[in-house]
Amino acid sequence: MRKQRQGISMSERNPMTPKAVAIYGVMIALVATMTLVLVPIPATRGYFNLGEAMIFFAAFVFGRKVAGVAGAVGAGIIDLIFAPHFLPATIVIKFLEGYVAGTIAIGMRQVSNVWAVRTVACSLAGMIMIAGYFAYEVFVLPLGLSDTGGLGPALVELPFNIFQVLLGGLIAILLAEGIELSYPRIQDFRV
Amino acid sequence: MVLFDILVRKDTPLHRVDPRVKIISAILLTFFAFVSSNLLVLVALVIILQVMIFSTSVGWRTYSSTIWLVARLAILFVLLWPFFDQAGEPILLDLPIYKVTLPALLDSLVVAFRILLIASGWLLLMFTTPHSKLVRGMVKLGLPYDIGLSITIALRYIPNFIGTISQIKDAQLSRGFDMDKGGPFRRARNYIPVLIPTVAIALRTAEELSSVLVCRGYGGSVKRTYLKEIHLRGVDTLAVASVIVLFSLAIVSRIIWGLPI
Repeated sequence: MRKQRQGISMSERNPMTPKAVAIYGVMIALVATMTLVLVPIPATRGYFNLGEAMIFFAAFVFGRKVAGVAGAVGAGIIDLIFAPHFLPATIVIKFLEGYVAGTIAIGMRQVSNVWAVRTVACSLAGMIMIAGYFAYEVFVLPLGLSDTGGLGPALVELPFNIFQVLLGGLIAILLAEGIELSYPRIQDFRV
Repeated sequence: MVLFDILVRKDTPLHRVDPRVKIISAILLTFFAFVSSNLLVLVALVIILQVMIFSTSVGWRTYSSTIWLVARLAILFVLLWPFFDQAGEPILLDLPIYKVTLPALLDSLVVAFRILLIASGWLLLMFTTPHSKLVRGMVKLGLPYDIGLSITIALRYIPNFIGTISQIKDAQLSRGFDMDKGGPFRRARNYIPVLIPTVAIALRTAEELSSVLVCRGYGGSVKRTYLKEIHLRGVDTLAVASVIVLFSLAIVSRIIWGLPI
């Protein structure tokens, strides 16, 4: 009995359902793909993207766990190739962003005004993302150096991040509404 | 089509190193880069890493396009630093609001090389490791198997979805839909008719995938075996041991003993 238990690892004792694995995989791929959809505005990170929209969408439809994991891994995969110096920040920030947005969106499902709930979720989660990257450039990258010199690049990038959250939130709210109308089976997908 | 796969398909000594060794080294290197603020050490490490990257016989085009995305932020740090940090004595350049001093310049260079160092470490990993081995390595290091499988599925579908998006964009354009008009918010809304079909196709893919996973007996067996195993060779063990000892010694001596490393 004891021997058998040793052969079982953490993941297999509490396995994800096949549906969950498929949803995680596809949402990670969607976040990564949308992060590659470029809207040409010259930012320091090189690309202004729709990744945020996909994380918010995952939060509205599938909840906080899928949104957090898809955000961290999906954006992380792209950062590994295009901006590895942002990798530690991205993994933490995008996970928190998806997790917070999902918690608010699913937790306040009883409220009849879906738009208001989703707007609140987007703005709170978006603030985490904006403040997170700002802090990473001001405090973490110049770690151990006494001064505030990192403010310059952080201020340059700030407007693009704010813009990205605003547009991402707008797209996500419209997209979630459209998908719920055109693909009603999505209700059975919640993991 | 966007450049997504930057693997160098050669067989050099660095390609043969076990993925776990490379992942651990990259994580330790990142940690060390944040801890260290000695310009000479950082420059030396960046140079060593560039030599290692070129030993993988990476094409100049791939190298320059990826490193340029990183160097852009590093250059930005050096250029914008003097606006906010003008402390220190020897003044090198004195303009009304843009005063460059030697200590501030050195600080900005530390940040720039820190960025280059972190990026070079992870790029070396991506240049020499196929996606499948990367995920296997992460699972062996303790990532739950289910998440590893999801990542593998995602990596396989990213190129598909990129294709789907451009296909649907073309389809909508051929119906007379004009995407490039209006201000930023109008343009964002223009993406909705492209995104809804893309996401619907992706969700249908997920449904098929979950049936496929059931058909192939996902979650059935208690003890999982693998078609392609990865093994630590003697050299790999030596490499991971020396990397761990070296970096922990450096990090400890910096944090606890305060040595200027």
